[in-house]
Amino acid sequence: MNELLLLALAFGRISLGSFAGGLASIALIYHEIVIHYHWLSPEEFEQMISLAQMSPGPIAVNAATYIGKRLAGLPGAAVATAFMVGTPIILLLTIAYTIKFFPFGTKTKHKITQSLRPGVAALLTASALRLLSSSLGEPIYILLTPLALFLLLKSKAKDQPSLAIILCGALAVATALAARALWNV
Amino acid sequence: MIKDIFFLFLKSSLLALGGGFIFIGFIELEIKKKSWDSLCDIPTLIAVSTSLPGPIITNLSYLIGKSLKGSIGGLTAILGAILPPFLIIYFLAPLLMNQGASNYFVATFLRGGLIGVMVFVLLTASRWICSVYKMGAVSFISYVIMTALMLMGIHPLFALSIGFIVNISWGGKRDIE
Repeated sequence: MNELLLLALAFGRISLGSFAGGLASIALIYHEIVIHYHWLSPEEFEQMISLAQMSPGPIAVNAATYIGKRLAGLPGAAVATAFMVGTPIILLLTIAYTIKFFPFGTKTKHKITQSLRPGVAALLTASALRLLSSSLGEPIYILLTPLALFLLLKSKAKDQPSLAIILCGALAVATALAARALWNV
Repeated sequence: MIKDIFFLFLKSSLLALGGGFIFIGFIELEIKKKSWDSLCDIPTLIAVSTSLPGPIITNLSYLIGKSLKGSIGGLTAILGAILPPFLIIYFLAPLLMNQGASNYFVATFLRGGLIGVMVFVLLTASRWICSVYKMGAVSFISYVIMTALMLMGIHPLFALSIGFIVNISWGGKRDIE
């Protein structure tokens, strides 16, 4: 029971801070799940993010389902997912209700969006650095970075990031197999 | 109608792989194909869903469903959009949980995928950093400070709120888009 409440609070907070899409939420998920609650080890967090970005659906919702199931089975998965998805909807209904009494102009809305931009950039940078620091260990992965850059910038897969990321995984396996066959590593 | 909404979002969530902005493009086309675009103001709904916190896919699904068929429509759209990823993660998760990840090839596959995610996040971050740089000194300095706070282990939501207050008071001399 207690676990479900903590899951609800954690994913409610993650949801409230995830502006401009799932990638920015990686830093928030890391903070809540790894630093604050120690629900996942950094290694398992990385594997989960990789899996979440490969499969359909918002990355943060996938993370909620995974961590919820891991901690409290089906009820956990349902509660974490519901709070990840439901918090902004409740916020939206509250704002819509408030705006009836205090109508904001387009200018104010624009100003609010503009003021959030530096924060989103910071979330994205923090997310990128978290992943970067953990992935530059072994030489085979340094080899993969330029390949990933090519896939995501120049190849036909650039409009299909999930596909490009699955390809990166496949390339890693292929490289590891080749290394095994050639040098018995 | 409710059934149509459910299956439209189910299909879109399965086929539009790769995050919110790809889902937006996909759903825009699908709504036009069904000629539902006269029933909802898609550009406004996209603008609202991307400026709200939370996953863009579910925010937009709710808003479109709601303009088509009220609150029930909104909830149906969300359900359609999260059912496929929920089931996929629910049944794929044991791959990681039950020591599956200590399997050398599973671990290598996910490690390779992580490089892809890392590069993807770096590319997205660099675009945002450029646009913040153009907004002026206050915005850029507050961005650097927020990043440092987040990396030091301060709660990102807290750093985000402080940055928001600073920027709404003094920031954004130049407008972007």
